Amino acid sequence: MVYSPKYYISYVYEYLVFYYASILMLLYLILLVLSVYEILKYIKRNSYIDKDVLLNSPYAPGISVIAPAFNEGETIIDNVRSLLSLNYPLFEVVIVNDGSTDDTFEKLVKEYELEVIELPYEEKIETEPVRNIYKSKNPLYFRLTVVDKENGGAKADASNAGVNVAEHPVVLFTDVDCILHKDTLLKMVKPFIEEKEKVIATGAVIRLANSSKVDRGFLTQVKVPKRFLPRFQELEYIRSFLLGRMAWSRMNALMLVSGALSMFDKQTVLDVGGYDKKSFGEDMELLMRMCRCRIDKKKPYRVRYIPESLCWTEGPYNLSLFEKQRTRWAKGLSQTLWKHKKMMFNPKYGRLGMLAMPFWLLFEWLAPIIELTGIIYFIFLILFASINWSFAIILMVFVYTFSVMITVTSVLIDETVHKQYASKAEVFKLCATAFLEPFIYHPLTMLLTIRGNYFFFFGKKSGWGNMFRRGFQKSRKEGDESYTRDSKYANE
Amino acid sequence: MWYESIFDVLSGYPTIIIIALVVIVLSILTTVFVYLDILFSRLRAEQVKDRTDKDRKFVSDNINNYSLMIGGIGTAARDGARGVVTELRKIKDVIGRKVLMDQIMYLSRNFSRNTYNKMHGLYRKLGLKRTSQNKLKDSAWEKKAAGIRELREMNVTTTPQEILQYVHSPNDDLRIEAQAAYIRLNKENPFGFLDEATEFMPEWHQIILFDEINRYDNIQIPSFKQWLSSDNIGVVLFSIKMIVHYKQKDAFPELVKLLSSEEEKVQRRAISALGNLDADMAQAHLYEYYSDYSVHGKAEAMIAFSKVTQPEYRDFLRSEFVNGEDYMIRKNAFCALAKSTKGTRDELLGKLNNLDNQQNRIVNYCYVNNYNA
Repeated sequence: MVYSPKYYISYVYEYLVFYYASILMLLYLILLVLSVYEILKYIKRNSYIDKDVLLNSPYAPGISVIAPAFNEGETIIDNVRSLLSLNYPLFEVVIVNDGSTDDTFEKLVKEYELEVIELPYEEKIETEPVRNIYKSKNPLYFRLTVVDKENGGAKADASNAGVNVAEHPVVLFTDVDCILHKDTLLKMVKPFIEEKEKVIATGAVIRLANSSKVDRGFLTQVKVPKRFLPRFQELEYIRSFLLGRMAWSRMNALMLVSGALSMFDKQTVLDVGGYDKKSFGEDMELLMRMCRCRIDKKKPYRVRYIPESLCWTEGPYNLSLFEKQRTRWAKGLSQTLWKHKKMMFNPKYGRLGMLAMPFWLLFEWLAPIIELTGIIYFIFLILFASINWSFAIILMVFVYTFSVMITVTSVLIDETVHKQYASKAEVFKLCATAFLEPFIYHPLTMLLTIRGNYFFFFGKKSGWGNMFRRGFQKSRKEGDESYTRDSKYANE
Repeated sequence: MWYESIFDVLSGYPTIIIIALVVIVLSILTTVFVYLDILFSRLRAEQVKDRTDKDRKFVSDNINNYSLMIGGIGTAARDGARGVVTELRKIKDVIGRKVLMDQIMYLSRNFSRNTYNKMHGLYRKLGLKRTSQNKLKDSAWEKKAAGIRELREMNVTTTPQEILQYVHSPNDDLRIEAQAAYIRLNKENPFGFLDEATEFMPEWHQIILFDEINRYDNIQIPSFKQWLSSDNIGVVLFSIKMIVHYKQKDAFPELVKLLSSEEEKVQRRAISALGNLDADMAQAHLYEYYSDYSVHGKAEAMIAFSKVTQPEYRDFLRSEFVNGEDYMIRKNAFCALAKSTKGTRDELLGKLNNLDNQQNRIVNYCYVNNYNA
C-alpha cells in the first residue's frame, strides 16, 4: 500500500515529538534520582554538624555581601538591617546605590549615620563612576559600606562596583529586597572550605515571599502565595532548584547560580571581568565564563548547590511584570548559549559542554518551540484531518500526569529537606496547584519564552520593568495581596 | 484471567500508546503515593514535635534540678539528685533519649567547666555512654560520626580503638570526627595521626581540629614544626596555624624554608606566620625571597612588614608603593610604612612627590588609619 508524502511527514513528525517528549521525561527522572541522592547526602553530612564551630572560628573566611539598590526607598532600612544581622563571624555588607532617583540614599545616610571616607578604590572592573564611598560613624554598623555611584543601566554594573570595593575573598551577591535566612553565610560558605577541588560558586534555593509574614525585614512565617501567579512560580522554583540544580550540582555541570543569591570566589570573578552589563541573563553568563576560564586554564573547579531554602524574594505579582521577567530570561538563555556556543558538544569542556549545554539547548530552549508546533499541528488535525480522539487524549493525559507527578515529587523533596510551611493545608494548597499548572501557567511561560527568543533573534528591546516594590507591609487596598505585619520582633 | 483481557486489548494499540498508558498509571500511582507520604510525614512530624516539646520541658526541668542539687551539702540534696536520675531513667523511647542526649551535649559544650562535669556525671548515670557506643556499631556512617562526637564530648576514653580505627577512614566526615577524638583520647601523642595523614585536609577539617584543641585544656601541645616538611599540604597549613597560635618561635628556621615553597598557599601562610611570630627577625628573610613570591604573596609580605617595630626597609616599601605590580601590594606597602615608621606624612613619603589620585587616597587612608589604630 502506498501512502502519500503527507502521511509520512505526519507519521515521522508525530513519532519524533513523542520520542522527544519521552526522552525529556526520562531525563527528568534521571535528574530526579540524582537530586534525591545529592540531597540525602547533604542531609546526612549536616545532620550532626555543629554550625557554631564555624561561627566561633577565627579561621572562617571573610565574606562580602554585595547588594545593589535602585529605588528601594520603601524597604531599604529594614532590608539592610536584615543583612547586617546575618550570623557569621567575619563579613561586611556593601550596598551599592545605583543612582537611585528616590530617597533610598538619603534614608540610608540618615538611618545608618553614614559619612564619606577616603577608601582607596581600585576599579578592577570598569563601571559607571563612583561618586563616594560611605561608612557609618556609629560603631554598631561597622560592617556596613555604602557605595554611591551613577546609574549603570543594569544590576550587573552595580554588582561589579561592589566587587571592586569588597575586601574579603568570598563575595555573596543578593538583591537588597531579598530576605536571607540568618545562617545563609554559614551554610553557603561551607563548600568553599570543605571540598577537595576549588569551589568557585555556590547557590541555594530561592522562594517567594509573597503572602509570607515579615517583620521589619525578618521572615516570621512562610506562607504559600495567595495569588495564583506567584503560587505557580513558587512551584516552578521548587521544581527547578530541588530537581534540576541539585542534579547538575551532583554532576558538577551547573550552568546557573541565581543572581538573587549567589556566592562566588572573588578572585575568579575578577579574573573574568565580573558581570557582563549587556547580558540579559548576567548570572548565567558570569558562571559560564568562570567555568570556561577555569577549564581553559586547566584548573579544576566545583560549583555547588545547597538544597536549603535560604532566600525569599518578592516574585512578579501581575502579568505585565511576569511577562517582562520571562521574556528577559528567555533572551538571556538564548544570548548565553549563543555567546558560548564553542563549548557546545566540545569534549574539552567535559560535562558542561557535552551534557549540560546540550540539555539546555535541546530541552529548555527548544522545548517551547516544539510544543508550539505540536499545538499548531494538533489544531490543524482537528480542522482539516481526521484525529483519533482516544489516542490524542491518552497522549495528553500521558504528558499531564507525568508533569503533575514530577511537580508534587519536588514538593515532597522540599518537605524532606525542611518543612517550610506551618500547616499541612499550606502544602496541599501548593500541591493542588500542580494540577492547574499545565493548563494555565505552562502555556503562558511557553509563549513568553518564544517571545523572548523572537526578541533576541530579531533584536527587539525589552526592559527589566519597574517592579514597584510593595514592600513587606500591610496592603492599603482591599482585595490586594496582603502582607501581614507582625508586632513581635522575631527571627526564624 | 483479567490481565489476559487487558493484554488482548493493549496488543491492538500502537507501541507509543502502550508506553503512554504505562506512564499514566505509574504517574498516577506515584502522585497518590507522594500525597500520602506528605500527609503521613506531616502527621508524624507533628506528633514528633509535640512529643519533643513535652520531653524537652521535662528533661530541661529535671536537668536544672539535678544541676542545683548535685554536689550540694546534705542528704536532701543528694536524695534529690538521685530522684532526678531515677526520673530521667524512665525515658526509654528514641525521641526522649535523643532530647536527653542533645540537651546534655548542648549544656556540656556551651557552659562552664562545672556544668560540664555535672553533665558528664549525668551522662554516665543514665547509661548514655552505651547509647553512644552502640552508634559506633551502626552501618550508617553519620550515626558512627555522631557516636564518636558524643564519646569525645564526654571524654570517654575506655574504648579508644573503636574510635581510632576511623582516623584514616576514606569517609571525610568520619575521619574528621575520629581525628578530633584522637586529640582528646591519645594523651601521650594527641597529634600522632598527622604523621600518617595522606588524605586531603581542607580548611573545614582544620577548623574542627582547632575547635577541639581550643575547648579542651589538657592536651599536650607538641612542637608543630615537625610536620612542616610533610607531603600533605593540609598538614603543613594546619601546622603553620598552630605554630602561630601557640607562638612557637623555635619553628622560625623551618618557616623561612617554606618561603620558597612552590605551593602558593603554603608560601603565603608562611609569610603571614613569620610576620606574626617575629616580624623584626623576619623582615630580612621576607626581603630576600620577595622576588619569588606570587602577587598575593607579595601583598601578604607587606602586611607582615607592617608588624615590624624596627623597620630597615623603608626605601623598599616606598618603591613598592610606587612600582608594585598590583594595587594591593602598593596599598599594603604604604600602610606597612605608615604603621612601622610613625612619622609625619612628608617623612613617610620621603622624596616621593607628584602622586596621582589613587596614590594620594592610599596615603591619606593609610596615614589616618594607622595613627587611629
